[in-house]
Order: sequence, then C-alpha cells, then structure tokens
Amino acid sequence: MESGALLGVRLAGRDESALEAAYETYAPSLLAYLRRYVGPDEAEDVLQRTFLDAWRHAERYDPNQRFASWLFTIAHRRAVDSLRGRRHPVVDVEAARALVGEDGRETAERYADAAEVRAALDQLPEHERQVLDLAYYQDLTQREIAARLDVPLGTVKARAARGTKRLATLLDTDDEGGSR
Amino acid sequence: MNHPDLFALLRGELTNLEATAAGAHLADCAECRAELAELAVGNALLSRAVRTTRGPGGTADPLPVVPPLPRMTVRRTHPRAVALLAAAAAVVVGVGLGAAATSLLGGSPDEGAPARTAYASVPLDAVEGQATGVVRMVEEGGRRTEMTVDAPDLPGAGRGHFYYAWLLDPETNKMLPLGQIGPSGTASFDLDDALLDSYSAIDVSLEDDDGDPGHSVTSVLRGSYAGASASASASTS
Repeated sequence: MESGALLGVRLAGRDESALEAAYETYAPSLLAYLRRYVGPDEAEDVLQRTFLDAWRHAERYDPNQRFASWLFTIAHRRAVDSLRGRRHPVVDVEAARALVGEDGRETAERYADAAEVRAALDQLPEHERQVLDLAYYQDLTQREIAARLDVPLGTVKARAARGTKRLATLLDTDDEGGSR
Repeated sequence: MNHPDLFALLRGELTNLEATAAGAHLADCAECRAELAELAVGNALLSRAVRTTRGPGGTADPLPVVPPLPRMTVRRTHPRAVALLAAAAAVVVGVGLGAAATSLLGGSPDEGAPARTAYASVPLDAVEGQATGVVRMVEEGGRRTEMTVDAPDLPGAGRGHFYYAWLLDPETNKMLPLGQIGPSGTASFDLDDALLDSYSAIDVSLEDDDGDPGHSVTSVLRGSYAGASASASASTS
C-alpha cells in the first residue's frame, strides 16, 4: 500500500498522478463526511474546493503529519466556510455543532481515521476485503457471510482472521516515520 | 485441544458458554494469546471506522460515488518560484515593464534582499462553472500594487446580477470587497501592499443586485496569490 505520507510528498512535488491517487483513495470518504455536515447539495462543491486547496497548497503538507488528517483538516475548513457563507443557514443544529469548534476538529480527525481504515481495507486481497466488509460494514456473522458467499464456514474464518491481521499491519507501516 | 474462533470471540458471535470457555483456553494458550493480540488491533480499527461512518439510522452507508476529479491548472510550486515565473510572465506578456522584469531576472531572489516581485500573473480557477481567468499584479511603487482581474470567458451575469471581486484569507474566511467586475470581465484595483499581504487569495463571486453588501454563496473564480505579492517572500511560509 502506498503510504499516505508518500502520496503527500509526491503531491507537494506537483505530481498529478498523486493527485489522482489521493482523489481515488480519499474522495469517497471525504464526500461521505461532507454530505453529513454540509448536506448533499453542497458536498460535491466543497469536495472540489478541498482538492483545489490541497493541490494549490500541497507544498504546505508536512510529511510528519498523517496525509488523511491533512486532507480532512482542509475539508473541515472548507465545510465551515460553506456553512458561514450561507445566508439562510438551514443546518441541523447537531450537525453544525459537530462541525464547528473543537468538536469539529475531533470529528474531522475521526473521519480521517475511518478513511485510512477504508483505504487499507481496499488494499487487501479481494477475498479478505469482501469478508471484512460484510462482517463490519454490513454487520453479518461469519456463518451469515458463508451463506451469502456460498463458501465453507472454515474459509470465511480463515479469510476474516488473515484480513484483520493484515489490515492492522498495513496501517502500521502506513504510519512509519510519521507522528500524529 | 481445539483453539477457539478468536475472530468470532471479538465480534461477539460466540454464545456465553463458548466465550467463557475461550477465556479459559486463552489463560493456558500462549499461541492463542498472541493471535488474539494481532486480531484485536485490526478489530479495533475496523469497529471504530464503522462507528464513525455509521449514520444515525444505525447502518453504515456505502461510500458515495464521487464526481470526476476537476482539472487543476495551478503552475505555482513555491513562493520563490512564483517570483521567477512571474518575471517570466512579464517578459512574455511584455506590457512595458521590461525594465522591472529584467532587473528581477538579473537579481538573485535567493539573496537576503526581499524579492521585488514587480509583476505576477496568478491563475483564477473555476469554483463554479467553467470560466477561468487571470489576475495580473503590477508593483506601482511606494508599497502599492495594481491588481487587474481578467476573466473574459465569464458568462453574462444575467439581469439583476453582477460579478464582484474580493480579497480573501482562506484561513479565517476574512474578506475585503474590491469592486464590481465589468461586463467585459475585467477590472483593476489599486491596493496598498500591507492590505494585500493580510489576504492571500482573490475571489470572484456572482452577486444578486439586492443591496446586500455581503459575499453571496456563489464563488465563481478563485486564485491564490500567496507568495506573489511584492513583500511576500518574507511573509509566507
């Protein structure tokens, strides 16, 4: 798996393929975050501004910082801009609270964590990724997964265990040399 | 001795009896303890990620499909490179500032002296719509800069609307109104460098002619001049 920090460094070097890779890896998670906090109508616009900012200010990326955190910090700022720019804010109070101030930074950081896990999950061998996706994101038991995929229960157990361990390893190397 | 299913243990798939039996097994089996330690980390990462992305309804929504990546057309790499690029632009555009541009090219921007960016050309990228533009910054001497916005392909603003230029500090979202952009898509503003330095981007918005002096929700163009203003090499990081 390409480390996030490496992606950030390539981005700072104006490597357009790094921009594409960053978009492919993190845009879906960023969009999910933005949809929740600025609403579906503006989320795509704010996503675009986020990547525009990331590209423009790529030289400000500090390789000691986690790349996902850097992106979510930008998205968080642009989301706050978007809420402030509204003339007639039609925002749910809970969502606004979770976006602005200290809570907002924490929320963005939590989403950055989740995006990093999602990115690591996508790096797993497809069989393992599929089992973990069904187990965690669809909340199925191993027995239910075996039935769903029509494979022996023992196979599901093996893939689940291997995938879970591999995922932890991927995130571990991803942070090598980086601090949070 | 049969090893218990540790993934099932972590996921809460075991019956009470099976779970307590697994606990007893773990007390005696170093191999399983090591295995559990490895699994616990991955389980923790995934569980938290799911909890974060899980909507109020309880189920984790699938990740949304994203629109294609917009085209980015920023040439800037580093504040210092901007000075060089800007100087090169001055030579190419050649609007009678040859002397200033030449002296900049001749001088070394790496020396301690502030880079006298006599001329900069900052691209304005589309925020909404397809139009792009450029801002030319001309050092007028005496800590003044003339900023000329040129966006000829902006579509007509339409009846009851107009385009308006702003200085923007993206960090704080502080904005300074500059003025209206004419129907031809151009406008010039004479600015104090100190003021210019307290912002870092120029923004063009589409405004309703409704008497409201604030920035509307619609930004159409934006460009960052961070590092491009006359005294910027010392003030940007």
